[in-house]
Formats: sequence, structure tokens, C-alpha cells
Amino acid sequence: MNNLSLWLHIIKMKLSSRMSYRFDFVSSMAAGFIWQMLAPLFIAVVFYAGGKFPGWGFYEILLLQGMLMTIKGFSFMTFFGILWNTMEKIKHGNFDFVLLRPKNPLWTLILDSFDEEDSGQLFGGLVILGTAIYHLNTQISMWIIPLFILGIIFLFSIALLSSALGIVFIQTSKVYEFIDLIFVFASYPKTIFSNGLQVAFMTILPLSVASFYPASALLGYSLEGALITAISTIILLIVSLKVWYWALSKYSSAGG
Amino acid sequence: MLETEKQLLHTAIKIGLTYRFNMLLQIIIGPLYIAFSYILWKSIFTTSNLETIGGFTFQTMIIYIVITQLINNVVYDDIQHWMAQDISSGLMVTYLLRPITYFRFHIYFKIGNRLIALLIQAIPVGIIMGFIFGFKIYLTSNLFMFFISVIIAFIISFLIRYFIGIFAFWFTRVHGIIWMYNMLHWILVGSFLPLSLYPQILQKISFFLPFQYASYIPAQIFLGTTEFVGHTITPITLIGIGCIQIVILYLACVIFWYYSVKKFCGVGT
Repeated sequence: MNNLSLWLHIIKMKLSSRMSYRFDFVSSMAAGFIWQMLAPLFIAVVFYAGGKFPGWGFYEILLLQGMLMTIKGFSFMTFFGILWNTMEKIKHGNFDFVLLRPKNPLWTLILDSFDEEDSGQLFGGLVILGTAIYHLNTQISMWIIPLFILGIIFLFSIALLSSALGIVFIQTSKVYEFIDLIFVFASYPKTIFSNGLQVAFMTILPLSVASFYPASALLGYSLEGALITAISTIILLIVSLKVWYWALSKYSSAGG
Repeated sequence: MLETEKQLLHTAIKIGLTYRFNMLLQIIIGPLYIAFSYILWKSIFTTSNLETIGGFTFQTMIIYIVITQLINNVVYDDIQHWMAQDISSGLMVTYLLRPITYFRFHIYFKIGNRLIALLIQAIPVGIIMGFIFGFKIYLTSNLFMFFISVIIAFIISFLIRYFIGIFAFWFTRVHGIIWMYNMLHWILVGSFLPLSLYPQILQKISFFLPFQYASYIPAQIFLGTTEFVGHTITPITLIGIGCIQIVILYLACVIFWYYSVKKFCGVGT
């Protein structure tokens, strides 16, 4: 069975299993959707109270956050589950089965990571993005698709690094909060940060690629520094893959 | 204290100390979140050219963020997840057979768990913030009232989540309900944004709900604020209202548990 048909088969099984608890499935999807819709609450309240952000209006920031939420929603629905899959499987002693299967362990984890209820998050992100585009004079940019893909690659790298931490340190539930913090930093235009932090978010932790640059491309703003951020994202992916396989070599079985 | 409760505290402390990497992350995340809030609010205040936003100056906003962060470390709870897991896996059966109630078991477990959080999260983060912003940010004329309000926040936080967890008896899997509750909590507890920034109608509604006693009210008592939705309310009155909220929530939990536990049929065992 090739990877695509295996993935489709797993999705079908997961949906069947999830349908056993229909109320929870529907309420989880609704919660994911509402959760995304609440993302711009902070900027809405700040603008309502008279506050302003440097160089970015309400709908510009909404566009930035919509872009981030769409990339996040897609990632959470398709592969980000490798993070909690790793932790849960190690905790219950099931990670050994992943290693015994006749497939690459990383592929096995990715294929098993489809999270149907996160489709609500993806849909919520698209609604925010659509609302912002409707209110703004956006333009079609040739860079938007490569930047969107790079944003997904960035989140994939973060998921890999977090999964690697789970393999090495076993109980790393606080990593979730750390990832939330990355999303918080990525939710605002980089103009609020000092020059040093702006450089850090383009190189060491290139989170600008998942929000600031795709939004800037749609708004027709300057993409200065986008190339460095793109290269940093590819380097981060290579490093994350190497770290993940190194962590796997250190796995000594736990839980059960 | 009885031997059982002592052992529960001891076990919770041992579990908290087992995973050191998690502990390290806990110490890093708090200051990073506060650092981000500092940058964000600095940028907003500078760009807006305003002295106050929602009644907060930049200085009081930073103190508010530090204090709510420390309160959250102490009152944080995850009982709703544990309860849902115990019910859906059938593990609840073993709890119902024990000579200690589920409620007592988990309240003592929480005390032990949060004592560790106080030592490895709140105190280190508080000291780091003291060095960065100056220890004078911890000066308050309401220290005693503040401590009482944190104890109330601790109990209210537990009771609300315990109440949410009971829904698992009815629906078995309550991931969606918990997620929706978390959103409501996030908005109304006041740690995401001070409630005074919200529109008046939302402030009025939230004043009658218990959420704000889990974070916003203790922080406001610390800051010496007495103005709430256009009324002057003293800290002692706020403490009194908090106590009434505890009684109402406790009774709600007892009644809801009484009727819900009858639905439990040991699924998953």
C-alpha cells in the first residue's frame, strides 16, 4: 500500500472511530472554529480601547493573524499531531510498535497524525483571512504560495523538534505552552520588536515566514529579508530532521 | 492532617519533581511570556501616545501582567482533563471504591502539585521579574487581602474545572466541552487582558460570574483598585463575594456529581 492510500485509509478509520462520539466530534470542531475566531480578540479590544500598533491597522493585523491561523490550522490537521502522538505513544509504551512497522517511523507518525477536529481551526483561519482580504485592497502576489509552503515547513520543523524532545525527555507537556508562545510572537507584525529580535525571527527562529511575510506579500509591502528567512527555514528543517533521527537513536523505551 | 492526605501531598510533590526538563521549561516560559507582553504593550503605548488604556498606565499594566502570571502559576488546574480521562477509561471505578472521595483526593493532590509550582515556577519567575523591573513592583498596601484572594482564586479555579469535568459522566468524551470552557475561561478570567478594557456590558456580565475571582480580582486587589464597572467596591466586599461564589460552586458540584455519577457504567474497564 503506498503512502497516499495508507493515509486515506487511516483518515477513514479515524473518522469512523470519532463518529462513535458524535457530540464530542461536532463540539470539538466547533470549538476549534470559535478558538480561531477569537484569535483577533486582543487587537480588537486594544483598538476599541484606543490603542494602536506601529504601521499596521486593524485589518492589516487581522490579515497577518488570518494567514498564521490558516497555516496553523492546516498543519494541526495534517501533521502537527506527531508531537502529541510521540508523547502519548511513549507514555503508554506504544512507541515500540511504530519502530517495528515496515515503514519509516517518521512517515508512520505523520500518517497517523491526521486530526479531523482541527479542520475547524483551518476553516476558522480561512474565515479570518477572507474577512481581512474583503476589507483591504490586497493584491495577488507570486510569492504567496512559496511563502505559504515555507510557513508550513516552519511549523513542521517545530513539530519535529518538539517530538524529538518528547523522545529524549519523555514527559515534556510544557512544550505545548512553548509552542503557544511561538504563535503569540508570530501573531503580531515584526515592527513591534527591536532590531535584534527582528533579525532573530528571520534567522534563528524564522517565525516571520508563517505570518509577517505572507501578509506583507498580499498587502504589497516590502519583502526585504524574506530570502534570508526562507533560507533559514530550510536550514531549520534540515537541522530538525537530523535532531529527530538523533533523538530516535537515543530512544530506550519507556512506559507501558 | 490525616495520613492519607499527607501521602497525597507527598505523592504530588514527588511527581512534580520527577520530570526536570518540564520544570526547566516552566521557569523559562513565564519570563518569556512577560517579556513579550512588555514589548507588545510598550509598542502600543508608544504608538498610541496615550497615558492610560482601560485605566492602566504602562507601569501598572506590567505589574498586572506579572502578578496575574504568578497567580496563574499557583492556581492552575487540570482536574477537568483528569476527570474526563478517568471516566472514559473506566479508571473512575477504582476511585469510587477508595475510602476517600474523588473531590478530596484531587483537592489535596492539587495542593501538593501547586506547592511545587510555587517553588519552581512562581518564586523563581517572581525573583527574575523583581531583578528586571525592580522589587518595588511587589509593594502593595493590601498584602493580607491579596493572599486571601489568591486562596479564594485557588479554590474557585478548582471548583469550576471540577464542575466541567463532571460532564464526562454524561457524554464520556468531553474534549469539545473542555475546549469551549477553556476559551470562556481565557476571556473572562482576566489574565489574557484586564477586564476593564472590555466593553461595559461584558464587564457587567463578568462581574456576576466566578471566573474573574480566579485571577483578575486578586490582581486588582494587589494594585489597590476599588473601581469596578462604575462602582466603588472595597477588598473586603470582594473577598465576601468570592466566598459566596465558593459556596454556590461547591453546592453546584455536589448536586451535579450526585445526579451524574448515577450515569456512570464503567465504560472502558
